[in-house]
Amino acid sequence: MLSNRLTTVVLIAVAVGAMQIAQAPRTWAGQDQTGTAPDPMQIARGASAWAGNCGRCHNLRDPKEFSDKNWDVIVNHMRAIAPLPGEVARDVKAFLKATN
Amino acid sequence: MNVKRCRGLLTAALLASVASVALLPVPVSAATADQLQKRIEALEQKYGSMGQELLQLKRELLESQQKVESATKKAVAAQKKANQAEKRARQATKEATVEDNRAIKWHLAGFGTADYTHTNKGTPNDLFGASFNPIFLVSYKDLALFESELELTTASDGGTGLELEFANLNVMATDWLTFTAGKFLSPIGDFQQHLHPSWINKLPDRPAGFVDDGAIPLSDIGVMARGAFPVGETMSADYAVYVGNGPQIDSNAGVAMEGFGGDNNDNKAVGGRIGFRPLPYVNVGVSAMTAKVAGNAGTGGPTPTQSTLNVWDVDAAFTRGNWDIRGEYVRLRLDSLTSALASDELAQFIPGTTWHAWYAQAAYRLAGVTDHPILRNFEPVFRYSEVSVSGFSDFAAAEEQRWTAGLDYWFGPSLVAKAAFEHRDFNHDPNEDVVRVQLGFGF
Repeated sequence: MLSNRLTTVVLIAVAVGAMQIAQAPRTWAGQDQTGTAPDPMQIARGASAWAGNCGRCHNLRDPKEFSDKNWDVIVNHMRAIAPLPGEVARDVKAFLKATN
Repeated sequence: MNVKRCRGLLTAALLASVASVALLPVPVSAATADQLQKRIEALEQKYGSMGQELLQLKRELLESQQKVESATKKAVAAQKKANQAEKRARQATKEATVEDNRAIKWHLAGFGTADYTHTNKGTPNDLFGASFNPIFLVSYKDLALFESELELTTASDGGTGLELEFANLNVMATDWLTFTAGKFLSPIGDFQQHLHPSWINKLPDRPAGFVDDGAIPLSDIGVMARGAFPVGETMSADYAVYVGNGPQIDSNAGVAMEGFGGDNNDNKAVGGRIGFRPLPYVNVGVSAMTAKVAGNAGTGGPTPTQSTLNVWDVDAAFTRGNWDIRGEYVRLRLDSLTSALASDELAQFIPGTTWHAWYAQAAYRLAGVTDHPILRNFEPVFRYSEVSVSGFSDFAAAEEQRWTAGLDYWFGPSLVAKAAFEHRDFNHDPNEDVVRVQLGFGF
């Protein structure tokens, strides 16, 4: 009985995931944003997302701790494990790179 | 007419005589000559000193010219160096830009720990320890990420423990969906996946039950879909669904929930977590996992029969300002099975058993009440955790109530010194008091 309920939960989760695939913005994260001028509004959104998401589990790291290249990789890691939406991850990167 | 001529001649003769008198040498006295001699000597002296001054001026002029030439040479050399530096800076900028634009980027992250434990039970009752957890990250654009963590620990026999905590490849399919394959930390609950690293965990140890051979799955090997997406303007949600090789029955009829590279019953574990953030500082999650679990043929002992394992987990966190309050409850149910409790024993019936483990933790950073440069870095922490077991009596040895009070000092966002006192109240064993000190550094 419990297993059936669990299976139902999992199936619902899978369905939610499938809906996200269908509804997700078509901006594939593989489109590297490096080299484009940072949008001030994106940096502002990134500052808010950085404070709101990173502090959920650990202390806020100083943007100056790492280079642009390192932040690219670290934020991708956090995007996968936290997890973070792709657009939020890009905003956070823009903020960190603008202030490091 | 003659008179006029005579008069003219007479005048001319008179003038000539006067002129001749005037042009005769005048006799000079001795005094006047002496004065003139002195004046001449003074003039000669003055002329001589003017000559020396002129020579001095010429020397100074020469020195000035030499200095100007030297300064000009230095200026030229400095300009040359500046040009070279500018060229190098341009080259470095170019290289940095190229580096930042590379498709493949990597970073070595991780954390290190040094700790000391004193307990009033066991021998020895004072222990030092250390661990090193390097995390290797490689990213391909924003499309794929490989991540791997090793855990190296000091062992009591003088050796070094080595474990692969996780190693997986992530493909970020869309902004809201990432596919993961390989060995990954279990997404069941919050502590294991997000909070256990020593620079994040606010106390030196894990809560009771949230450990190896405890009540929560630690890792699995398989595939997972996970991601996060916005809900309305201010809320967000996240999810994870996975299929893995799943846990196995260990040699003591308990459950081992670390990722196994094999599947001894051809039945995959299925699990996942759904998280929701109604407010930026509130996070709640519900997790579940189910699997058929089996034991392995031991060295001479009977093989355990297959059983069913179900895990439920609820977690919540409030992280606003200087407050960090969180908790998690996990319920693990293992249905009945037949197994020996040791390799040299006969198989026996193990009734269905349920483990309940939970913890509640509160921490407050003193920066909220003082600006003192040292005091503001302290963070008192309190945690209560508990494990209770119902079912098979042998498993009840794990029952415990644990109170932990600690004080952290943050040297930086990821560099912390922790000290904690812990009272462990066992239901079936003598109680234990433990002092723990730990240094944690995340990089």
